[in-house]
Amino acid sequence: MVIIQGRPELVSLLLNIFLIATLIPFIRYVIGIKHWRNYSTITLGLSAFLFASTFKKGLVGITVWLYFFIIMLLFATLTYAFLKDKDLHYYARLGIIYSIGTAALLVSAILLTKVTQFNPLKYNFSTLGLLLLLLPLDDLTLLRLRKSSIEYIRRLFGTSLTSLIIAAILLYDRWNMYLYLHQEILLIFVISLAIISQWRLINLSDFLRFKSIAKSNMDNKDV
Amino acid sequence: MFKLIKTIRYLNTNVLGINKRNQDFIRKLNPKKYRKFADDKLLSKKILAEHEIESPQVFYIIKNELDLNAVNWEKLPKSFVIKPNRGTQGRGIKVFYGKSKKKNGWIAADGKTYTIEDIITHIRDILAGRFSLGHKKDIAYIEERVKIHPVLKPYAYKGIPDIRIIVYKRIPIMAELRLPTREAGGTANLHAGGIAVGIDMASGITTIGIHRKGLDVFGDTYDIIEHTLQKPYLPLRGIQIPHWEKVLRLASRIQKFIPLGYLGVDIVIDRDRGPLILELNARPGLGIQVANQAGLLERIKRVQGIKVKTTTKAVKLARTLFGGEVEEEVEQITGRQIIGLVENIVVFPNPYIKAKKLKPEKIKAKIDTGALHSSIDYRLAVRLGYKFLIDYKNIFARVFDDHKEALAFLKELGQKYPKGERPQGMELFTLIKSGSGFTVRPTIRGHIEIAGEQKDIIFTVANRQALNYGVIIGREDLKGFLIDPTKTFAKSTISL
Repeated sequence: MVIIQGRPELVSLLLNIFLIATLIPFIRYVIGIKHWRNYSTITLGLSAFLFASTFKKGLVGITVWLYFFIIMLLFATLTYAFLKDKDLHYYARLGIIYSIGTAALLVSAILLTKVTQFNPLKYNFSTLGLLLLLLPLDDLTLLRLRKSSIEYIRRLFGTSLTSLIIAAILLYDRWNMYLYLHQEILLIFVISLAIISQWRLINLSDFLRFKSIAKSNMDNKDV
Repeated sequence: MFKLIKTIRYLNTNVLGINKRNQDFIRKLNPKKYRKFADDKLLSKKILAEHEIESPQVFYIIKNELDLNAVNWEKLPKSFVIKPNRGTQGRGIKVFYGKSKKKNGWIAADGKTYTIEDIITHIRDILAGRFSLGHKKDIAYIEERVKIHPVLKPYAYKGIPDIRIIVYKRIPIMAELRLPTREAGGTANLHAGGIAVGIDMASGITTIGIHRKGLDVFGDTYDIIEHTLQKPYLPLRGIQIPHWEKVLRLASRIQKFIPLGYLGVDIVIDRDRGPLILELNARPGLGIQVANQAGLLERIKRVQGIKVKTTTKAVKLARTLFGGEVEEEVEQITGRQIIGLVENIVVFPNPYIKAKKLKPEKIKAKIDTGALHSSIDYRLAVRLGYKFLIDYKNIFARVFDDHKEALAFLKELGQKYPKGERPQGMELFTLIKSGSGFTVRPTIRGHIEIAGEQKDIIFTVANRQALNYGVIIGREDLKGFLIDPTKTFAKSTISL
């Protein structure tokens, strides 16, 4: 009853976590695309959702979000280069990352306002979106610092893709209303999650990696 | 669509994917409490030393700034390697192969010169956990750079080539040769851009080379390559790994005292000391399957349930079950089958006689390139329906010193048993020269199956009772085969 009495768009936001919690392991284990931590992926997804909610057309909002996301990536790469050889305390390092990161996003907001007349800091959703965009910054810098360039790009792709899917789900009104009215569907996510947690079969990534083995061995058998 | 389903089904039953590897092999066979034996490289070295297994010598172990200050840089040799103790995927490893004459420093495999300050910075990165598993604080160590075996030296760019063997419950099931490249900064790691070459388990000869493709968002994929990446572009196929038997024995022996059921053992071949253990890996990568064009899962299934008690048996089993890729390749190229000096053959009964009781006989035959004709023991021939040979029993006993005398006897037999009146299956009488003199033998027409091929054959019949083999196959009947003298011994009986 408490749930039904809640505002549908807010209730469905929470209920969608069931779907997101299923989607992330699905992408990781069944598709085989790596992302970086769940926390960062969900935060970025929510950030994209908040930007899209600021505009009537979600696609415009996503484009603005991408602008800030790319700025953040550039900043993370620069931070990586700057901090690479520095002997700093961990929390002081994080402090520098967040401070410079916030400054970079504020400068980007000013630039955006000058060019498009849209000031993201005037709206609750987009300001909150900027804040959420900043949160995974330390994770992102650490990823760049600790993984090879190829692995970094790979995980970046996985994270961006998953975040955008999350944002798209959260923005899909018909789905959100359906979820609000038919909460029994959550059972499907729970069952799916149980199946994924036991998934032992090859994933799409394995398939692409090892299909040459199948080809050569199956060809030999045919001979 | 049907082909796609077939491919997926094949991969699921034969190839080890990342999900299955993590859940069913690493989690179950390599319990967390034992993974330290592989993850902690210094601990591995200590255990190996306790069991008198050699590994490269460690010059310095650096746990903190104090240890770092204690390093005597002047006394370090011209070439050495710096490693993180809990590193993964070859990250953080720096191979130095010479001293710079211009600058006061060492030349790394990537061609850059590192001063003492540069090296100290790198070590500090290691200590901070930049390259370690789970990014925890780590220990750095400086290790000797082993002297590369001359067979492998031309294939390695600056670093050290090693052999990765996957050992499952003491049985080596798959192997690859890993070659350092410029791209990988002198390390032999496939993720970093090194080359991996599959190894035929029976012979220790390399087969297929692979190298990581460029950026692929889904994960590492590989190109099959025929040559090394730098000039003089050496062929990767057909390299005989030195000390192969020892390498396999070493890999199998380790699981006697390291309680990890699914293990990657990295072995280097030192020019003077032979095979040495470089490191152990509790989560060995899956790319080895592509280099061998074979699935780990399929191989594991073949040895599942088998309990081997000795290293010798484990190695014999590995060489017998997982070898043969090189042979198959030679067979494909030449169109000829490879057989050993002793082969199991099937000899069929006299084709001219219809008797239900007569059955084909499976026996061991000697492959004799010194003999022109094939020969069969007369008792065996009689059992196979050539009963008329009983009448010729006395002929076999006669040995002539003089050729003329033997020739006269041959003519006499020719007149006594004229061609048209000879029994069915009987061919000619023929004069054979052997070590003991001249003998006259009847020849019969028969049919055999050898190495899966059926063929008609003319046997000379002799008394071979005192000899080891009831049948010898001579040169006349060996067309279409290649003989590998080692194959006979590789396929010796295995008792478990």
